[in-house]
Amino acid sequence: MPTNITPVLAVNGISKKLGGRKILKDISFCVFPGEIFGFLGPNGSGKTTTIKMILGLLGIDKGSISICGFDVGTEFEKAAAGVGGIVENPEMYRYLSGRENLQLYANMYGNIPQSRIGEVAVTVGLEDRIDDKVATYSLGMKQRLGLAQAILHRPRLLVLDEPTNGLDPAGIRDLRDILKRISQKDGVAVFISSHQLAELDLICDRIGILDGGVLLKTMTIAEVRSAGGSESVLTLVIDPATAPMVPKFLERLKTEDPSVLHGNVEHEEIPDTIYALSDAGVRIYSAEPAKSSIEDVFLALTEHREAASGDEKPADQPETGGTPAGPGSGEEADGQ
Amino acid sequence: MSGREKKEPGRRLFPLVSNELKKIFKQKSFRVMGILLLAAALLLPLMMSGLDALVGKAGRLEVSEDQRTADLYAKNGEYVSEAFFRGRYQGEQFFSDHRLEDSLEHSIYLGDLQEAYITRNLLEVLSSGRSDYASMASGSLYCDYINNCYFRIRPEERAAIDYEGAANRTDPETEYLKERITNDTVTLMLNSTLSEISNIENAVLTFSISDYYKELKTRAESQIRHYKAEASGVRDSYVPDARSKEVLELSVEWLGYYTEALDIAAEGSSGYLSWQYRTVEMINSVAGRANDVVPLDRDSFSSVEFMISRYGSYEKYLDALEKTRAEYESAMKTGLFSLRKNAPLREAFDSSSRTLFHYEIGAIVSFSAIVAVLIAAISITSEFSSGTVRLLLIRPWSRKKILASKLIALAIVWGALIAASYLILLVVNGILGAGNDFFFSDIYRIGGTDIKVNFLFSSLFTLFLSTLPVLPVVALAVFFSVLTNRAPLAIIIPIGLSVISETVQMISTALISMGIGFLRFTPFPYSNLTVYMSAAAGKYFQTDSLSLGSILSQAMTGAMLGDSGVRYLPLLGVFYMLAAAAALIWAVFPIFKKQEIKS
Repeated sequence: MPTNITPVLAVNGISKKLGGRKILKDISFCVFPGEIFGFLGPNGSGKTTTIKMILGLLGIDKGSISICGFDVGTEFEKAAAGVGGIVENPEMYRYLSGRENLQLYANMYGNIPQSRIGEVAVTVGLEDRIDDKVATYSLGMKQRLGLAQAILHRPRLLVLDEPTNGLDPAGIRDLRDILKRISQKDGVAVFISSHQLAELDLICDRIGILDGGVLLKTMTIAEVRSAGGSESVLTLVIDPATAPMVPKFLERLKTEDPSVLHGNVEHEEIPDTIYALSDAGVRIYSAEPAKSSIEDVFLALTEHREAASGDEKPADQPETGGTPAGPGSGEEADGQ
Repeated sequence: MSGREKKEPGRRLFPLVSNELKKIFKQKSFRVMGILLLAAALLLPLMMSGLDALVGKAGRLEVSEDQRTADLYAKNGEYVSEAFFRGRYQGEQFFSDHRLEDSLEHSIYLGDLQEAYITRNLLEVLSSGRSDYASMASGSLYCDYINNCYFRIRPEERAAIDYEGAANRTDPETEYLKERITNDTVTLMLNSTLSEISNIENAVLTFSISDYYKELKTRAESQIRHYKAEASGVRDSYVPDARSKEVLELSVEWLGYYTEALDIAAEGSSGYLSWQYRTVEMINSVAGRANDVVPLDRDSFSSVEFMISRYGSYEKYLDALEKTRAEYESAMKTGLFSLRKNAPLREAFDSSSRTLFHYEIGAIVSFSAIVAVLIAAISITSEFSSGTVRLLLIRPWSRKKILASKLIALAIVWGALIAASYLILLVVNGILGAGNDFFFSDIYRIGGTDIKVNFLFSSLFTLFLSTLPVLPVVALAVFFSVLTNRAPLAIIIPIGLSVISETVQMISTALISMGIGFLRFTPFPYSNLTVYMSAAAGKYFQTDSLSLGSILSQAMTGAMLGDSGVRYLPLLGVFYMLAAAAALIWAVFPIFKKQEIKS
């Protein structure tokens, strides 16, 4: 982790109480220029609350947040100039067109040329519909427009709360491409919270895992990949007719699907395992080791925490207390 | 109009304000509301004028009835009653034939001419034999016309009538005349009446207003001499007591105002100006009220007891009389001012366009306030209810500036709506009222001095006074919008308050006049400030015809306020309005700054 570069986003020891309940407890992390930082956590962990505090929508009880070196509490106008974001569903003025909405926001920055709006519309794939009233937009289109307003003023920091919500696969891919491009080419720092762990796995440089208002861990993607230690997860696709021929000592690899074998195998033992199977007559179509993923790390950490604290609650049940999120934030109901 | 500008040194709010303006203009519901308001400004004067004409016509209806009534009686052979109604109609017809229905001659001579025509008709009924005096006397009241005519040509015979001994069974005059109404007498009376008719008609057609004023002045001067003589005890053996003397002397002084008014009116008028005549009449009628304001002696027991029970104490009785005296004097002085400066008081007109115009200004400002409340509440709370507030507050602008820009935009839109409606009212009323009193200046009485204010400034002043009390109403909408982020409360509370404010004012002024004086220092009596602005003189005009304008000016002068003897403090009311609005607007900024955007 670079230590002598100024972070674009510095969150220092922030705590937050809402409705009498402590939502965030002493959270600290940084995001550096050009990196994509994934912020993960179960429902009710406080992700959206953190994002709202970064963007100035909620007050900071304790601690400080600075963007490009400007404190969000005391120098809000300067701090906000460098950040663009999406919080929950990006709601715009329905009686205006996409272009008119973007124009309103552009006016608030003062130095954005007219051409930028058209440019951004093309970037997010809305150039055909940009002049239609937002009331006619689908959820996916509104999400694209949300991204458009976030990058409009070329901020140093992008803060995105569930940006893939409502996007079709092409949209998700486009988002991924945009984020990769602006972080790598333009050095923009991206802070993104999401439940789509597989998606994050494809783009994040670093992740932070939040649970119950506590930041459990931050890791680079390299650390995630090697989190499984020397064990790998091996997946084999076989001819189901030959499934009964799997040797007994490898029965543990069987799954519900007779054409799939899956399980942990020490890295060094992979070749011998494949020989053993094919000698036994199992016809193998493919063999793939899976590197440890963000999902693996996430589930391991959070389940581990639940087990340690004796909680019987499953990870996807919202905790009680706090105010419920607004409508349309996907299936989740983040405690705020 | 409102002090909501909040510019930080450094960055100007212009782009934010223009954003907010665009948001307001682009919402169809707001555009519709604005257009409805402007349409109301267009239709209201048309409606008021229409209503006014209808009300005026109701008075006219009576006249054409007379002819139909006469025809009806003729058909039934009731020639006496026919004679009466026909005469009334014929008198009126003379003026219409010469297009003098609205003239001063009409109000002066109509009664006399009608009486003459009725008398002639009745005499013709007698001479044609269709009826006789005896049956006329027994069956109807109309014989009085005959009687009066008789004693006009033979005035000396009145003395012969025994008024005392008739024991009130029959009318002594009729008894006396029963034998004397012969055919010859009828012929004599008819001739006399015909020449009377011709005299009156001639007087009407050769009427000169300034001659008429000069004649009135002669009569007034003789009246003054008469009073002076009475006061100094040189008339007969009559010596007035102290009070009567004071009344006479005051009457003489006040008749001086009347004669002065007649001088001004006589030299000024080259044609008939009814407002001048009405103003002169007003001064005359007030000048005759000296008896009202000279206090009764404490020693004249029974009358004083009544006064005390009405006023509470002798001292309060004296105070009330002092106040009334001051009011009468200022009414007469204002009347003179009006004549000298050629600035008619509104009440001098049967139906004043100015009264209607100023009323409409108040009404349109109230409507505009409702629109402003709706725009304020919706434009603020919809950001929260739709969630657009999230994308608004993450921009590099402090919350103070964002809120300020919304309020400035609201003020601009509201101000523009008021200005546009005012202009529409000005033009439409100008067109409708050009023939009436629209372009005349108004008279305001400030600190005991009359000042003449041209029609534009006068209407702008009313605009200002009408806007002041609704400032806190709109501010309240802003306050509740920011506080609760919910539209219903922010709309209902301010509108509800403005609806009941007139009632609250009425109740509080009623309570004040019953003695609960401290209410004068509360804001309650001041929700309609225009009632405090009219000159007292307006109350003393007699309106002989009904009109919307006269009904409204009664309401707007708040006649009740003048009579109660209470000193109101309209400036305090102004202060309350401004302070309330300022306080509410000032309070919303810290509230908005600290708000957590939870959803």
